[in-house]
Amino acid sequence: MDRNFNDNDDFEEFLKQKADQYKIYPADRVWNNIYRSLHHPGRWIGLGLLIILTGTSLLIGKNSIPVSFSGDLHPASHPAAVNHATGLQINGDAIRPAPTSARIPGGKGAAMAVLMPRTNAASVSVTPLHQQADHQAVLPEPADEVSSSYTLITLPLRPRPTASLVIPALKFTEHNDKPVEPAMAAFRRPVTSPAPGKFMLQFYASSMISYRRLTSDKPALTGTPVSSQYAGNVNSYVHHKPAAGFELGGKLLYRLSDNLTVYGGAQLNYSRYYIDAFSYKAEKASIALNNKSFSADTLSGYTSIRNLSGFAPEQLQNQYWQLSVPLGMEIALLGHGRLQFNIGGGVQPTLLLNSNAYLISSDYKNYLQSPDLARRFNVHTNFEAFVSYKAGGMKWQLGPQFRSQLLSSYSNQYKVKEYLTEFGIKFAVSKSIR
Amino acid sequence: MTEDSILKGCLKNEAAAQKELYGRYSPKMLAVCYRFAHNREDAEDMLQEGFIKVFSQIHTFRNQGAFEGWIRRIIVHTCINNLKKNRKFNESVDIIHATGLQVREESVPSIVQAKQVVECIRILPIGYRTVLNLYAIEGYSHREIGNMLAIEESTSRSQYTRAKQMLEEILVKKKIIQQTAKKANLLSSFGT
Repeated sequence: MDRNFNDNDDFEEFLKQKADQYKIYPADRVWNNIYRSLHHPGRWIGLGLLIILTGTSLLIGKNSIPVSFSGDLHPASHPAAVNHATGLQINGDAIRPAPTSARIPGGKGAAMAVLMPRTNAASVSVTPLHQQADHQAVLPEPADEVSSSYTLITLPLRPRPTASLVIPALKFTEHNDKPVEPAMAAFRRPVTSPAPGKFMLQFYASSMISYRRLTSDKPALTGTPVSSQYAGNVNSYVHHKPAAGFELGGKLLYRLSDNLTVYGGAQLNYSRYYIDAFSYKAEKASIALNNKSFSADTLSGYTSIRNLSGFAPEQLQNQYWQLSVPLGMEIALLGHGRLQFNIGGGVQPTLLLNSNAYLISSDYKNYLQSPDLARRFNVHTNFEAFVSYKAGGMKWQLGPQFRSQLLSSYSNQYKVKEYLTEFGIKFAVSKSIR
Repeated sequence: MTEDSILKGCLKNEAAAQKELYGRYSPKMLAVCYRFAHNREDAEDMLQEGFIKVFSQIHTFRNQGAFEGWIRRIIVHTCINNLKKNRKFNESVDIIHATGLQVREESVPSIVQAKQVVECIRILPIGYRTVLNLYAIEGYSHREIGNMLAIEESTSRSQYTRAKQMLEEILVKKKIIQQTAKKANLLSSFGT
């Protein structure tokens, strides 16, 4: 400042004196935010780590549950069953494929297998100043007759107004109450300050890369069609590659505090991965199944897809369309005002809408399809970290996310368990709705 | 606590000293923010951001001037930086608003309160208000204002002249000052 008040302009002196006399006492949240920013960034990091650890322990706990199996190990213990989708019939060990329905429409040449008998398996308040005692209670000066004679728009401390706010800050009128126009135009700007509403509506999209992890029941069961030379870790016998999918969704967020937000919503996920296999002549393949009474059942069919060798390389795709209900929370870890670093996570009860998946046979030699073995309901967890920026009344965010499937993609009857894990970059935009 | 002990405590990042400093200066600084901001919430956000800067940069304070003045400069710059992020502000600060305000005449208040004057300042279009705040109240020169707002020095002068005229009209219509003898009334109202 190189200018002093030596101009001796009484008007400026008057303004300065009056302005300097004016004091406004800030809300407690301002100091709380400052204090948290200066002293407690680690607390939120700790909470984030706790969420990650909880999710991880859930995953580990789920996957480490031993699968016990006992009972009658004879194949096809239920002598007769018809798969309504394919017309394949199983009668003991005899399999008579119906000629026209042995292949799955749209499939890659794999024969439809038959499932054996299944077990039931920021509003603005416009009020005269004299009515605003609650909002202005922190102001030292009482309202007087000047303030009661015109209309003053003030913004209540709680809840904050919505981001689409377009107002004249003060509306003075002539006696005919004509609104003050162009000179007030500068007041009419969108509020770009931090989103003030408690509720926010968010839409998001994410590109996702899907990986899968397979586990199988151990040990290989005597009497089931598991080839002894292929017994062992199923991952050693398959060649799968991650592939790109996507996620689209919307959710409603509710701000519990300046740093903590909870949400619920709906989202669509498309997940897939590639399987390297080989085409071969049609041959019989079987999948050993667990059933409810822990006796052995077998699902058998004809397939022209081999896993380890064949006539020509084939690339298959396992694809899943899922509808989820994401429920969780977001925590602002760092930053204040417009720019913030956040983490979030939660659970996603999931409904499988459709799938086109190839299952490995029990001897790991072939791939076949069996939609009946797909699990309809599943649960996912997700964790994300993102940077958010508030501008133009909207909150924009971008960051990586991790999504993991807690239950196998297939029903408990299938001995091979598949757990999908997805990584992606998520983009989201939010707007206050109240 | 003395200002010196507060300063030493803040340099050690002691929460008690920081809270004492905040409690001492935040009401005045929030009033500064309020004159620049669009609304109370924006003002509190500016104050929060400004005080975080104060505490994180307190080691740069050199005891060569008033501590309050140093804090105030940080707060004012924080306010300006926040305003400059808004496109409409940048447009309005560089445009001459020729239209006058229509203000209903009011009865003469018995006591001229600082609050009424501040509220009258806040009636001004944001470009006018910012230049008037910086020049008349914060004491920045038009050259400094031009640099701060990325406008010509002459633009700052003309904005200020019009802002001053407009504010005088408002104050007259609100009968905080009288038109025929503004300056005399100003002087007389100093003691109120």
